[in-house]
Amino acid sequence: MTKTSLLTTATALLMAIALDTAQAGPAQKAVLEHFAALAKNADTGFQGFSAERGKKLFFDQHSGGKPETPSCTTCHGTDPTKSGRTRAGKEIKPMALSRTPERFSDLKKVEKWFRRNCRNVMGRECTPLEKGDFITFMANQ
Amino acid sequence: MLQKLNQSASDEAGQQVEVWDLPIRLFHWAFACLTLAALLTGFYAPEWWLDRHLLIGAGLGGLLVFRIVWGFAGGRFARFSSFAYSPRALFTHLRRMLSGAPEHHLGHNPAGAMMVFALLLMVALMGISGLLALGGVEKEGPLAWLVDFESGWLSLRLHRFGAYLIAAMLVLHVAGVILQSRLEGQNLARAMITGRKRLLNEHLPPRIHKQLSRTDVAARNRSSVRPGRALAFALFLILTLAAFLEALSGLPVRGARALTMPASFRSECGDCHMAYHPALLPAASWRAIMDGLEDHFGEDATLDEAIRAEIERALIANSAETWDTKASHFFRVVDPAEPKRITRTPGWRARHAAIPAKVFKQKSIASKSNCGACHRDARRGTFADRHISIPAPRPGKEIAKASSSNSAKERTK
Ligand code: HEC
Ligand code: HEC
Ligand code: HEC
Repeated sequence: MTKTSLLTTATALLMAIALDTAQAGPAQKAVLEHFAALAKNADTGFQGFSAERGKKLFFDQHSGGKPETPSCTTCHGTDPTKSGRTRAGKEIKPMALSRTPERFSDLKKVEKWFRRNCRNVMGRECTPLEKGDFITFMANQ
Repeated sequence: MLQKLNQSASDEAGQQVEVWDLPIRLFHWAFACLTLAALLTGFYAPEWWLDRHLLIGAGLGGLLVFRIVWGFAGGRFARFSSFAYSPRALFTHLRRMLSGAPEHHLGHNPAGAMMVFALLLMVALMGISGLLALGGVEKEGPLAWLVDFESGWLSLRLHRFGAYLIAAMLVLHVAGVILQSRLEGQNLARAMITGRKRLLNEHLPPRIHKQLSRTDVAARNRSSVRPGRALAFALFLILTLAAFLEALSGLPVRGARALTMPASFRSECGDCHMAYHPALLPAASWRAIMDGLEDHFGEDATLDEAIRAEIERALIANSAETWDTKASHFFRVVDPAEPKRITRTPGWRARHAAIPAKVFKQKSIASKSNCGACHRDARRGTFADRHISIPAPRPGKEIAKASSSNSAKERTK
């Protein structure tokens, strides 16, 4: 890695963390850092995560996934501060970090659910950028 | 001598004499009410009324014990010996009753006596078959240590058959009382309230009962033992029996065991729905489910291979075939077209056929697969009748009995 690229990575990381992730604790910051590093690897032009993009990901109707689940909101509901519900009827605690502070703190769990849910909704895995955006959005809720 | 007696007897005719002592009258009506209540709760009440049905059964059991004691120690007409007729006497009675020239009996006539014995016996048998069913099917009660599911199931069928039989006997009993009342020209049902019957000429001289005069009747009607003592003895028997049954209920349940699953099971299979008890499907179904997690009922439920294999092993080790609970028997046979669904098994569908589709869709339930919404003990896999309650359409309001706060707690666990 060149000196400049190192520098940009560092800034990107800093930006990612410095973003208004007011609710994020150290565990969530570590998870975000992990995705930021991956995003940077995938795209050297990485400019940090965006809550706006995360919001769009969350609310958009996607295609390519399973017909039962066209959107993240199918299960998580349209209000991230409220509980959602699985198709089998079980309550899902709110995704907003302000409501469920233990969210996005366990990388393994986060990755497991991104893998499943992105495949369900979009028929593919989410990119590190999308994951970081999503978490950033939820950390602001 | 006979002449004289006859003379004094006709003087007595037309007078009211006490035939049914107070305990027997109380017994009769309590027994009637509880038997009716048992039939009604058995036939019509929802499953979660089982507790009440059992309470009624316990009441009947207590009454039976009392009746047996009183059958030896009670008043003259309450004693079994006073109405233990021969079959021939019964036959003669029925024939004369039908020909309109009945014999008259101050106490139970042979047909009535037959009915008393038959009803007492039937109710006792119902108690026994009921406890066998409770033990074998529900895995509850004093016989849960003894009975397996198959025998319990058979007992349940006999119990149901017995209930029809008792209902028919009650109809016959009432018809008999009405007929005999007509023939005697006095209301025999009221006699069971007041205890008094009008002495008819035909009652005298009674060849079978040798009671002759009103005072004689009263004298002979007195309990042979002091009634207080007999009642105390009955109470003692009832309490002893209750304590004994209670102790039996504490014995380890036959075929039951604690479920031990790896921690990963609850966390990995309990996120989207309750972690279904492994007894709810046969091993082949669990294998199919665990082999197809990429498309798990339209969702991706993939796991790390190590965890997947660990959960699969535990599910198979605890599958329906390895249990004797009712749920394990009901859902053991799957729908070949959809072997992975509990809710498609013939057993599940038969048991939930009466529930309208829109109930499952309502917000508080959302899906047939959400067992815990209606079965508070779903996680334990027992699906006891007493723990069933359908939550109200809108959370917060109640239609069915039990507390939805409980079921909500169970659901979010
Ligand atoms: C089929 C239902 C369903 C859909 C659709 C769905 N999710 Fe989820 N999601 C769940 C469930 C269930 C959980 C785990 C619940 C819990 O942890 O309380 C979960 C958890 C997560 C988690 C982990 C949260 C944590 O605590 O670490 C993330 C991240 C997530 N979902 C993202 C998404 C995204 C992004 C989408 C849309 C692309 C989405 N989900 C769509 C059901 C769904
Ligand atoms: C990502 C969410 C998710 C996870 C994780 C999950 N399931 Fe499911 N499961 C579902 C959905 C959705 C259904 C279908 C519910 C419906 O149709 O109402 C279902 C249905 C089932 C059913 C059939 C229920 C019925 O209707 O009869 C079984 C059995 C089952 N799951 C077992 C498991 C096991 C075992 C695991 C753990 C390995 C597991 N599930 C993990 C989402 C999940
Ligand atoms: C809408 C609420 C509801 C849901 C959801 C539901 N059940 Fe039931 N279930 C009932 C009711 C009500 C009965 C009693 C039906 C009757 O009157 O016989 C019952 C009966 C049963 C019985 C038989 C009890 C007995 O002794 O007769 C079993 C076992 C059972 N359910 C298992 C399940 C399982 C397993 C699930 C989830 C896959 C489930 N139920 C989901 C309401 C529900």
